[in-house]
Amino acid sequence: MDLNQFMEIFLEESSEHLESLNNSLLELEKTPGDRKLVDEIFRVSHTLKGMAGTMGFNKMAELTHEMENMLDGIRRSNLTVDTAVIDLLFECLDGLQVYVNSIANEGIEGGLDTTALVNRIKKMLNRKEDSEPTEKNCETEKLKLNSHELTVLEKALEQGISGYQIEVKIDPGCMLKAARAFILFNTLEKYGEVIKSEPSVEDIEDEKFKDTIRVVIISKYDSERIAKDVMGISEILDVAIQRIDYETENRENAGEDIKNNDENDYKASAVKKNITGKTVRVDIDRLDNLMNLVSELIIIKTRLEENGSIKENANTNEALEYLERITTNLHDAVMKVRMVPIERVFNRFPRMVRDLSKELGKEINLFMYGEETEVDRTVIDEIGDPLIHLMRNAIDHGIEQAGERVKLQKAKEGKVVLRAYHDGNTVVIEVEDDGKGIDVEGVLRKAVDNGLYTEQQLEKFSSEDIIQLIFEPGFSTAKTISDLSGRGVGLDVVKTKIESLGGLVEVDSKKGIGSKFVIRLPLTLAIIQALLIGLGNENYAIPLNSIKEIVTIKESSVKSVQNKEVVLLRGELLPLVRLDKELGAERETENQQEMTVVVVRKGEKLAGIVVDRLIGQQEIVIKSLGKYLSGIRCIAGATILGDGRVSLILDTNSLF
Amino acid sequence: MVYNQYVVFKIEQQEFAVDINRVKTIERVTAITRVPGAKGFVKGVINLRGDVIPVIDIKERLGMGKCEYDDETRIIIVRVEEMEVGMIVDAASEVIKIQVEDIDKNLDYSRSIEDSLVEGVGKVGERIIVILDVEKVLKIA
Repeated sequence: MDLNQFMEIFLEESSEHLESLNNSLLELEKTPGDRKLVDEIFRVSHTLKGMAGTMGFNKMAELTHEMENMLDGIRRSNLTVDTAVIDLLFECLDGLQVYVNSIANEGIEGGLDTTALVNRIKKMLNRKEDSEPTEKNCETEKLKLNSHELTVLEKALEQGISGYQIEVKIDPGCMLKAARAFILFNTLEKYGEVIKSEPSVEDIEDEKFKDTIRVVIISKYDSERIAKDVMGISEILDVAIQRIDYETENRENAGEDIKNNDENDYKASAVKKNITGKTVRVDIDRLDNLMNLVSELIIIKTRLEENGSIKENANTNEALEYLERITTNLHDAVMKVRMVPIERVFNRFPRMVRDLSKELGKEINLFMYGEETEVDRTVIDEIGDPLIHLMRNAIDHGIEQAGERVKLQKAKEGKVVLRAYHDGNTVVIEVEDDGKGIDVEGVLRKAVDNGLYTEQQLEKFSSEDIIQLIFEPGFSTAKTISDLSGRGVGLDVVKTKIESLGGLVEVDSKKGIGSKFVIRLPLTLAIIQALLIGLGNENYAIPLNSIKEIVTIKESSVKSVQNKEVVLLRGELLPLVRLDKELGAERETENQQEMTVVVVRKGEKLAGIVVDRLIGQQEIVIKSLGKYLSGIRCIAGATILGDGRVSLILDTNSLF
Repeated sequence: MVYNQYVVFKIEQQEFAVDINRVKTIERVTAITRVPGAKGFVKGVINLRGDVIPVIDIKERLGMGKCEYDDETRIIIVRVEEMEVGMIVDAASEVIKIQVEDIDKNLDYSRSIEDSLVEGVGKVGERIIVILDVEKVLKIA
């Protein structure tokens, strides 16, 4: 059978499963006694094992099998959940991730050797088993009953009828398992009423089960008699029967179980819905293609609108307005399809924080808010690395060691907050810690030591300005270079990356109280509002979100400060940028009395860009200049105007 | 007989060619938007049915002066991996087949052009055609 067609699904689903395992394990570490979590983890890893086995990835299947053994140990209380166990489980996950990555890249599992890991698992299991001999393996896993089933059971028990849980193993070689199961049910129904079966009756009829069927029945007869009769059915390998004591199903538990089962039921129904096609997995290329088509549509719409003769006809004008509305809606709809919750990026952090805090011996609590905030997929793909940098910085440089914190009368555990929310047309992501904050003195000294600035230059800097220096290339204040950060490649890379996405990163820090990094990103990177300006016979687009205002200034009011042109705008000094000089373009009229100046902002800083004329505001589709023209300064990309000409988009951040 | 197909174009009187598998389309000259800060032979970008494509002056790339634009001027859109670039040429004339044994890879012929950009020199009857190595022409130095 050709398994390749399933490969994509396999990879996608295994990644999802690994992610959920990661999260569940983190939960388990916090609440080690949670049996439901263990069950959940067991269930997921079992699915994973099955998938890997089916696809013929035996190493993966083996490793998951060992993991399952451990989980089983936990479930049967042979193994207590402690850090060592959790660590080992995490290591298994890491191993599995390596396999999955390797499969994704090369199609094979690769050479990772997990024998050592497996041996350690075995050793851990043996150690526990030696000290505490286990009951026989045949103890059956208890089926969970929902509220209705519990009531039935309760009534039955009250009337002196016993409840049994029966686990039946059918010969794996059996050809007609469904038929065997049918006979089994018939037999059981002679003795009493089946109130629950796992897998469900429907699944059994469809032969959607392996070799084991578990049922709960209520019956007046004793267990031996039932067992004997069931064994009498051919091709039944084993029967385990257990009396259900109502005491063990005590009400309190049941209460929880009800809730839990309801949840499970809900989950189960959600899964079913998936199968019937409520959601569709779509290849991202197709979405990109759709997006491109919508972009084309917007371009042609703009072109129609610019055509004056059309507007004279009231009828076509009306149609055009309607077209305008439809394209806007279509654009919104396509954008929504491409939106993904930022959870996709955030999900990796709990694990990262855990590993880092162990490694550094710090105690850290991570709080995440707004995981459901939706952003465009393009943003999701790009934002991961910068965020990792910031998180690592917060943990490595920000949060103090526990001892130091206690001395400072802070809570022993450091706090790192990761927050996302929408703000108008932008999405804001904040990374906040309650650590020691940025050491302004340290930054200052470092800037001088590294030769970035002289002391005289820095004298004029406010402490806020000095903090901004940490974004300069070649800067790092950490005294020791750790594995994580402190090589001085961190923050300037973060800044460059965010700015290349059309975003901003700001920092706010108070010594001894903590630091907060705020990232602002546009919701989408594909279509933006822009102002078109003219310069000589050329046109350029300036993204609207970086424009503060547009002013007219008399040529005579331009002053020169340190060889730089500035004007006074409402009492503030505004540096001027002569766009024609920056871009090597020609201006049309040299002797103009008045200049049109577009005031753009970059963080807190402002600058005035001198242009020839304003053309107007327009929705533009951003196109990349491509690899051949990569590394061109001042230009963020290109767009196609209504008349079919290409206009370049200015990267105003690089102008000052 | 083993032969390859080439798109032939002219720069002044010299005939050049590129492997047809590299060529996507041949276009007339449309509005070119200058890209500030790009290398001299990069003339700018054009709109090719919704895609923004950089164009270079192949004559300038080869160090032979600049193309004069007229009715005959064409832009040959070539593709290397995922990258598409337009080459402005004086005139694109035809597609010809050149037998592999008629292509001389001994590069002594080329004097006025940068040797490194030439893949070989093909002979078709009396004509001598310089075959360009598109990958090297488009290499980002």
